[in-house]
Formats: sequence, C-alpha cells, structure tokens
Amino acid sequence: MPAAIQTASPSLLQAVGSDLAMAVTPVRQDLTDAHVLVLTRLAHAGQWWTGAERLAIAAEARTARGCPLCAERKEAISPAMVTGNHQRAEGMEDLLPENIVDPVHFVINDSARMTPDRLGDAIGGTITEAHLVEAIGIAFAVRYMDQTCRGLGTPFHALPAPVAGEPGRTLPAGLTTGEAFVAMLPGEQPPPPNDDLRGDVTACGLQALSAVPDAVRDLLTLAAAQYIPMDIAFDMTKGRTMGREQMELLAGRVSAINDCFY
Amino acid sequence: MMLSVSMQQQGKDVELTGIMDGTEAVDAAIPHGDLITAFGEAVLLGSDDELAKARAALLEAIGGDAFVDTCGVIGHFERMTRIADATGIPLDEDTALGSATIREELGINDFTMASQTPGVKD
Repeated sequence: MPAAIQTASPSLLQAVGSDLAMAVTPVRQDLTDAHVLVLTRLAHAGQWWTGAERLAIAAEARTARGCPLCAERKEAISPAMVTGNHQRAEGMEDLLPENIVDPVHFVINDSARMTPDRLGDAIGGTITEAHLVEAIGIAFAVRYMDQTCRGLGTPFHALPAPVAGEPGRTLPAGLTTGEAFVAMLPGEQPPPPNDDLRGDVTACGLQALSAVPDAVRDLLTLAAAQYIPMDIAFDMTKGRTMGREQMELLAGRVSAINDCFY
Repeated sequence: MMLSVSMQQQGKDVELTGIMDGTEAVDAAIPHGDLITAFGEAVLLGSDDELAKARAALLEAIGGDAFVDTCGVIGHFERMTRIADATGIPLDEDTALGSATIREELGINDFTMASQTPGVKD
C-alpha cells in the first residue's frame, strides 16, 4: 500500500481553488486537485524530514528564484568560482542545516552543472543522500506548481502550516548505485509496498528520485494532471486538448532553455 | 525525439531547430508552435510584461483548455529537466538509440550531462 497521503486537505482545496480562480481562463479541476494533494503531502513528515523542515525546503526553493548569489554563479564559467551566502527564506533560517541550503538553491538555478562532488559536499552531519533526494523532490514539486501558476497568471500557492509528526526514516529495499549520482531502484517494477511506482513504463526519469518513493508519487500525481499519465507517456497518440506535437515542441524548448540533455 | 515521433504518427516530418533556436525557427507544421514557444520562453525567461503579452496572444489563438494544458506542460518539464540533471540519470536506452542523429544535429550532445549516458561523450 502506498505511503503517500491520498486525501487532500479541505482548507488547502479552498485556498488553491481561490488562487487558480484568478487565472486568465478556467482551470481544470484535476489540475487543482493535484496541486492540493501535493501541498497536503508537503506539510506532513516525509521519510527524512519533518513537515516543518519540508516546508522550509519548499520556501528555500521559492526564495532561490531571486537569489543574487545563484544569479552570479549561473553566469560564471564554473559555479565553483563564486562563493558567498544565499538569500534565505525569511523566518526559516533556523529550520534547516546549512549544508542543505546550497543544493536546494543549486538544483533550482543551475542543475545542468550538478556533479557528484557537489552533491557529496552536502552530505555530512545529519544529512544523508536520502535527505538530499527528498529535498530535491520537494524543491522540484514547488518549482512545478510555481511555474504552472506563473503561466496561468495566478499567485503562487501559500505554503501550508506544518503537520506534526516524525519522518519514517526508511529506505526502500533494492536500491542500487552506479547508474546516476544517487542510488535508485532498478528499472523494473519494485516489490510491494512500492509496486505503484512504474506501471508498464521503464524510464530513468521515474527512477531518479526512487530512493524516496513518495517523491516519485508526487511526480506521478502532478504528471497525470499536467502532462500525460506516466504509464502512457510514451504512447505518442495520447494528448490533451493541446496536441501531442505541441506538447513535445514545448517540452523540447523548455529542456533546451534549461540546458537539459535528458 | 518525442516531437519527431508524434509528427510521424500524423504522417509528417518536422524541422526541430526551433527547439534549440526558439520562436523564429519553429516549424510552421506545428499548429501555433511559434506562439506556444514564445509563451514558454516568456514563462522561463521573460519579464512580467513580456509574459502578459505572450499569454494573451496564445490564449486568443488556442483557447482556454489548450492554454491550461500549455501551462501544465511547462511546469512538468521545468521539473523533469531538473530531476534528470540534479540526479545525473542517463538517457533511457531506447531513447539514446532513437535520438542519436537528432542529438548530433542539434548539438545536444554538447550539454554537460551528456557524459552521464554511456557512449555519448568520452
């Protein structure tokens, strides 16, 4: 049975609904529901971070958009040439260990130049690779929703209040190393309780965050509402009101702007 | 590669340079491809004013439902690109094989993360 929360917060449903009602055109309910569900999950303890810490990571990911250090580093020939302090999310400074702040900012603003060493530099003290993977998943979930809102012309969703609780602190069985910068589950469908992560699709994009299976579930939730359900994503006859060729043109252009090889 | 395949499903070929070079280079065979690309660029790189203009033009051209789809796709790939790069995953084997010519022609093999896929960059 999947660990991820499947019931959306009613108060968040109202808040997100109000945000998206400001869009320039009516927004599908399934898209609203996906944002509400992911925000609901964000407020709860994950596998490696408490709800308060997860929200602090989300706030850092959002603050990274305007971080002067990140902007300077992005322009440098090598990110290592620029040092300094990141602009921090207001009021969240004491919630996170210092060594998680840089990777969160880096993956938002300069992910195409990530290296294993840079990720490794963040590991130490209380931070493990699994902490990093969960943090990356949170940062990207926020980016996903924020960029959607920016397109729609709505405010970003306010981050919810944290829900008390302790992290599960459990790694999925069967992680392997060597294929990517982080340990991942193999390409085939994992055994229970993670046998909901793949469907019939084998794709490295679904494996990438699989050291924290709920991070993959967040991706699946958002993808089903905003792209194509991942189990049919490689069927090029599937589209939405927007034609599939229009979707893939946009996908390619967004990838190119982000210098993404994948 | 998925753009090529989606066009082949319709019995059409497509010029892919718009992916790398932007709005002006988008193949006219893709309906409203120029406006879709311009809007994507505005969401990622544009000022609020530029975004407002691109949004209005696209909305008028493709209608509300497809416009919402467009915003959704941008959000999705803003995430997927970062997941791939931040974790250093390789291209899936089938994709790597199927996209070899396209990657070479468009210069995609020059991207830093190309080294994560065996056989692309030594």
